[in-house]
Amino acid sequence: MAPLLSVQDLRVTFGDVQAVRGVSFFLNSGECLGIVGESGSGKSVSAWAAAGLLGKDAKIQGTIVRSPRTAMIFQEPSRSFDPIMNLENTFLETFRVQKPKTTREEARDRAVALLGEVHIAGARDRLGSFPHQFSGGMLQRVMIALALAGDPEVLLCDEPTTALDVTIQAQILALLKELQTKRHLALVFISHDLETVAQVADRLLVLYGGLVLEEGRTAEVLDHPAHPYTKALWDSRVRRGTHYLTDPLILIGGQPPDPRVPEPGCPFAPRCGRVRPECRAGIPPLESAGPRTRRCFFPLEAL
Amino acid sequence: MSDLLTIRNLTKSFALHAGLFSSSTDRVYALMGVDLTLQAGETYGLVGESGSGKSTLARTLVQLEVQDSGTVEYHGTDASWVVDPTHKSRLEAYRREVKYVFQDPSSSLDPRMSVRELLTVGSRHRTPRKERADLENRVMTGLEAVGLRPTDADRRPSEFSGGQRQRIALARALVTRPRLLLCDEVVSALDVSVRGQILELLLDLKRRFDLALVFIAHDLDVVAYMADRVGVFYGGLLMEEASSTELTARPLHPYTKLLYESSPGSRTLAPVQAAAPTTRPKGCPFEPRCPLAVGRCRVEVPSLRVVGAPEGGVHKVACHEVKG
Amino acid sequence: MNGWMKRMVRRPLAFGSLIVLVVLYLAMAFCEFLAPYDPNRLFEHYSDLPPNLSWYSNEMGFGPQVQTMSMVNDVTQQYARVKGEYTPVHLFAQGQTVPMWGLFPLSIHLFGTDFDRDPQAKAQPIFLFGTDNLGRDVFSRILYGSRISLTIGFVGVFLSLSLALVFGGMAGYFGGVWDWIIMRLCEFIILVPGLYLILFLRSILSDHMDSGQSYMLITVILSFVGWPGTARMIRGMVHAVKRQDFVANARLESMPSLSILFRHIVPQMSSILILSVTLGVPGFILGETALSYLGLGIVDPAVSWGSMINRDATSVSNLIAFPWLFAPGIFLVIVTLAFNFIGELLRDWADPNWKEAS
Repeated sequence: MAPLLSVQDLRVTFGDVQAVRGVSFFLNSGECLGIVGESGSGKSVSAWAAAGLLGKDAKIQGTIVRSPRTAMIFQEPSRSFDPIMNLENTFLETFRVQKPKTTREEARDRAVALLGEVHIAGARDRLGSFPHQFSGGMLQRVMIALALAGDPEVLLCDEPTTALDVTIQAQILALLKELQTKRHLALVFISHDLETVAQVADRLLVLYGGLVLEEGRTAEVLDHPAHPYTKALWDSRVRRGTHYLTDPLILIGGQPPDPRVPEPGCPFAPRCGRVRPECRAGIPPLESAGPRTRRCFFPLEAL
Repeated sequence: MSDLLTIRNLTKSFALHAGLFSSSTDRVYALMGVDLTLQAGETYGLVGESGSGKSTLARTLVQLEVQDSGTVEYHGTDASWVVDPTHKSRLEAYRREVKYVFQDPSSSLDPRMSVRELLTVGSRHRTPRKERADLENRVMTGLEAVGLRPTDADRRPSEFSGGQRQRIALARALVTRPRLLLCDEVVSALDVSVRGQILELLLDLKRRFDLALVFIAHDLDVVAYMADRVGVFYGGLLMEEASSTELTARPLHPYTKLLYESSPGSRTLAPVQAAAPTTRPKGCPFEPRCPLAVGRCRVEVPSLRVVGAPEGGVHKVACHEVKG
Repeated sequence: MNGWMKRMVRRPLAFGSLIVLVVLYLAMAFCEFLAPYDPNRLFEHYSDLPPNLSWYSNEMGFGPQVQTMSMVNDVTQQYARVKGEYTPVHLFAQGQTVPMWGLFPLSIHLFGTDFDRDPQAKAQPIFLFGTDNLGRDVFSRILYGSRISLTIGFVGVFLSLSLALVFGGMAGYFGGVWDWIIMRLCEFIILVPGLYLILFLRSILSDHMDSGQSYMLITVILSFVGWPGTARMIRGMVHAVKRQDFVANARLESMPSLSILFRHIVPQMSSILILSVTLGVPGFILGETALSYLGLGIVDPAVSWGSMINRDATSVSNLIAFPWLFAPGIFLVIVTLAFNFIGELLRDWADPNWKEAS
């Protein structure tokens, strides 16, 4: 079966800033793809380009093929709602985009059903409430419910839990996984936190400096990382049970790249522990074997 | 180790709605009676989620907010005194010894000042002319201590990355040679690959300058790593307090257990019923979400009791259902 | 500074304006030297004379000269050039003695004729912009008048901005009761139509004052009317800035409130303040002009561009007959435009976050 979302050689430039320099990925039915990257990695820009949400100031090159049933949720739920529209009207507005003749009664029923799917209890009584009366976690659930209104095949999630508390985050992640199975929904989960993505993603895509550095099945990438950046990022996390008196921190020196001043060679070269002169001379090509891909002159793992 | 700060029964509430037509009954109870003692030279980790009151606690400790009731007593090298906002000179002296480091270095550094100015402007007004040269020395040692170069003194914050700006903020905090640093989510606004550097720097500064730290964050694993003792905060109350290793090995409070299960460090997902935390003065604040809740929990605030005294330090829990 | 120079060159309008203003202010400073005559000097036989500078070029070279004019019609005050009669113009000529900056006598001027030096020489005086109906040299009057017109802007803006900073800053930083009182005061002053307020204030004060006093009075009145608008804007910005963490940090460093206000908060608004100054100056100049135009400003023997316009350029027939009398108006337009163009350039430079439209 063809991928539900296919992005090939995506390049996005804003003025003379190259945000994305050649990113390719695909999404199959029913799977969750995790995209990990820090600031300057181009992960959000790639997602927004894939969703077709970038403005006129973006110069986009590359091929994007996506299912018409694609929905997206975003990072700050409190900012994604019109503050003067209550829940009922918000749902009504969304339903009417696809089916202009939707009556208020129909909208209410469908809204309650969707809110039930995202585990909001007593939904019918809460339809008259306004966004500011909900907590961040609840709003994110409502946003997911709204995204489900169009019966999507693909759900793009741009840092949906970053602004939430960790206990609420766990709930939202669980909910997304549940929807993935129950509705056979394909997910793209974008985050800067590798540990969070590792909890939900079947496959992992590691972005840095506008390029894909590594790709593969999650367990494989984390247990046997091929790219020094992936390994460094995974190793630098603070492990449970460690303490400063007994366990040293594994650090990555330097700072993330500035897209306005791109490196001539591999974007990770200034910070890489295995760097050699060839790394700065040119960008390493992408090499793949089956589901595994990496971009490194001197990878940690052979393909 | 000697006591550095004794916090007794701190309470603080905010009006939920401001303005002419607000009702005075809707309040947010940020601190509901907090008792805590900090030791000199130790790192106290404070973990809690948003709205738990941990930031309010830190801000109250430096009197950015003034508490409704309760006392903060500081034990200086020569004398002890209660922190009192009306006593100006005492407050000034206290604020030299206890420093607060903000979360976001983009807004905590005046963008129009050079690094040198940032580090000295706070001290200039009380430094007599003769000692001004000494200020310059302190700038240089400060920069070196946080891993920046002397040439960075003339540059402005916009020329630095997020991690470097946080270093500048730390250098600024060290100028007055404080004994305690309150680090409020100081790595949360930074890129993931850079956080380790700042954590390492904090540990280094602590060793070099014999600092006490209050390390506040919402990530339990990071807090447990950095701290000697950890306090778990929820709904304006300390729910559990123990040495870092003891807490990791034997979390007792249901909220602490929930935190451990929820955080990304555990590679599993624990679905829990969604319930919005409410603001209420009566009973245990965690009751609506607690799997152990009984009737008593709704009406009686649990007090922080000692449930064990292992090697690392006393283990305290505030829960009606947890026995020692 | 390199980037600064680059930006200047990229904006020829602003660059040119800066040069124009520098020239004008220098001219103002050295007006005793640059102007050939005292501004109140009456040239009895030369009233309403058109500009009388002309050129010659002959076998000896080329240069400026003054052509003699004689009255043709003493009702309409029309002149005709007398052919063949010229007076040479000298640079650094010896002329009328005037007190330079009121301190020491100076008789050398940038240019002049032998009119004063040698009464026997039958030389004509030089009038670059002609004369007014009393026979006073318009060019000299413009130069001397610039002392009032060009400085009143800065003095006025300084006063106005100081008031706005103090009150707006206090209202924004301290909030509460102070905010309420100061804002109500501002609103009250803004409610009263500016022109009427100015007239009212002017009228309740004495008519008989010397030029120095009336100058200060006008400035104070204009500042008083102008500060509330800026104060409100400053208050809003102070409100916004004081929420930033670096202000909280300054409080924790035990900086006195006024220190925080002026060392931390006000500099964040520097681009707005500079803009305020550069746009405020022409406003004051025009305000003085308006007052003088209404006869409530500068009066003889003091001279300002506004009073010149009031005297000479108020009737169309006057302007048609003696168009050179509009010269002070032209200068006003040039100065106002120059300040506006520079305002844009300065705002660009002062704000580190300003995204330049390329």
